[in-house]
Amino acid sequence: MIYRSQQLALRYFAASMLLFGVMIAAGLLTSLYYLRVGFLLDVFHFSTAKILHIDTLVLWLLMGFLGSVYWFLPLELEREVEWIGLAQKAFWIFVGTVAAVAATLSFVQYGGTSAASLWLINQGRKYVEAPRWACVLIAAVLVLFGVNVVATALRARRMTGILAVLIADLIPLIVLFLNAFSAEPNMSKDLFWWWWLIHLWVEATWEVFIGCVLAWSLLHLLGASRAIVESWLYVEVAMVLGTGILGLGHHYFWIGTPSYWLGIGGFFSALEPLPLLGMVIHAIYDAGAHRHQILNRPAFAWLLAEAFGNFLGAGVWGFMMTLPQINLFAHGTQWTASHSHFAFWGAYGCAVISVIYLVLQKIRAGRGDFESQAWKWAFALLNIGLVGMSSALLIAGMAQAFYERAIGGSTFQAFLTAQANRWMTEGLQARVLFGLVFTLGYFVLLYDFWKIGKGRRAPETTLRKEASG
Amino acid sequence: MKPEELLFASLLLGVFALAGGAYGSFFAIGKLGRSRLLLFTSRVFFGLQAVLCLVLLRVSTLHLGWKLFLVASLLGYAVVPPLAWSALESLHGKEKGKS
Ligand code: HEM
Ligand code: HEM
Ligand SMILES: [Fe+2]
Repeated sequence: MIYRSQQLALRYFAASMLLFGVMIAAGLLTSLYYLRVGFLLDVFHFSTAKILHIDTLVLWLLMGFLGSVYWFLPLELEREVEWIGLAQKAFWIFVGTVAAVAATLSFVQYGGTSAASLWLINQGRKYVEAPRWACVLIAAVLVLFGVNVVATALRARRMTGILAVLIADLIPLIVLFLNAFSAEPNMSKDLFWWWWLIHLWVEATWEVFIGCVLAWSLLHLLGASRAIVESWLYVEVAMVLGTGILGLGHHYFWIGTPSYWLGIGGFFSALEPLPLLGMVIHAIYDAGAHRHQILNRPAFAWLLAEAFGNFLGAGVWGFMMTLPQINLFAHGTQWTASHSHFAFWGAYGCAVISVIYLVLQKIRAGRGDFESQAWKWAFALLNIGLVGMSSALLIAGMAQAFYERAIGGSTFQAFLTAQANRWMTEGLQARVLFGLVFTLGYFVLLYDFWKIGKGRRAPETTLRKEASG
Repeated sequence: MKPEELLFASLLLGVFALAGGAYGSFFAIGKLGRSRLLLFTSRVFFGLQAVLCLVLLRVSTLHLGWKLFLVASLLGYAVVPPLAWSALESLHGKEKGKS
């Protein structure tokens, strides 16, 4: 048997993969509005479809994160997680809330400008749009998760380097979520704080969080030494936060914030690729140093994909438009969407998939054979689909920045001209095609999750040792 | 600024970072395999990055401050891979020494 916390982790992973599927379906739906003028007009709004897409994105990643910690935490402290019964109930509250919000958004879609709409339909903060009642419950689930971690460490009277970083990181991560509740009528102020949520999540607190999870993965996947993994984690955290926190300024160029942000934001954010390059070097080093210990090739392949994807999607794609003179034109175009897709996928999507493979091996095959053809297909289809989508969007976005803004001077007419431009229309068509490739990859991935490592079930006794070793 | 320069400058910036990544990756793989060819390839990519940096100094889209910054960050790209590598090696060396 495994720890109850680890059973909970498995449930979180299942919910995460389900929501991943919902996200893909919503993404495909959203992409169709760009192909046909008047698609679902007055039936189902583009904005609602997009909300479903990006909110489920945040949710499947968060659930994958929670699952990872509920899996590794009892191993780290060699004991059951405190208040695990409550955490198990919280899981169902989380899932029920998400289902209710999805139903509300699908059927009610939007409401009038009243407090009731905020409470019952949508708080309107991009990426975390759920109604207030739901955000209260989700915040409670996150707080309970934090309490689980801290209480278990206290009870165990033990602290490790990874755990200390994780706990220190969870506090800002959860506090930033409270941003979802803001109802600030001044748009500049509203955006000013909203970016704290988005940017300081994905370019600071989430990076640190995933750094901790991947540090645990390296310990369990490659048998890397704790001293090395922890020292490296400290360096990475320092570099990521050193560049990422003030990198926030790259969102304060054109929203009514003071002009000193042009310099600060450009400077720090343009340094952000460097720590990501450091992580690539680390991944390659580990691949070489532990070449003979790699018994879980899918988990390791996704770990490498994370390192490279993070550098490419966040580092390179972000760097391209992070200097103010470029961002002036690129801001809020399909170019941004191109970076959004690549960065979220590279930094976080690949990491969650890697951890799931790691866990599946532990619960199924022990140290036996853990191979399949399907994982390679899923790996190829998903990554080709994603890189294809990002490239198609990059081309569409560059055309948009060029025709609508650099040439057209951002008039409404220029907007329309750019939307009809061939580079743009064909780019958006190509996005749908690559989206279908990605979708196929998703189904192969699910199939592989179901099948891989089954049939060579190790005896119960070794299973227990493996799960806790 | 001429409109064409927007796309030119942003593509240059993208390839600049990409070349930095290729330099770092080939450097690390070359070190792993002790391959002179790969280490040489890594230097070629760094050379490419330096050339791109020079070209960027000539585009009018970016202000002077950013151009100086790019030169400085080129140095950053130069040192991160070898520094990271030797840090990793010395960490591992210490670990081996202990056991
Ligand atoms: C079948 C696959 C997918 C399709 C067809 C798709 C399509 C779309 C579409 C049409 C939008 C709206 C863009 C707009 O406002 O014009 C969007 C937004 C977004 N998608 Fe996807 N998507 C897919 C997969 C993904 C994946 C795998 C991720 C991340 C891991 C992702 C992350 C995002 C993000 C962050 C946004 C918001 C972008 C922004 O507003 O800047 N999507 N997607
Ligand atoms: C894991 C890391 C990252 C993720 C997940 C991520 C994700 C995103 C997303 C989703 C947006 C669009 C937000 C919106 O408008 O809805 C965005 C915007 C942006 N990102 Fe990133 N990003 C990451 C790292 C970076 C890095 C390292 C850089 C710079 C080197 C960067 C530069 C930018 C810039 C300049 C924008 C604003 C684009 C605009 O003005 O429209 N990002 N990012
Ligand atoms: Fe950002």
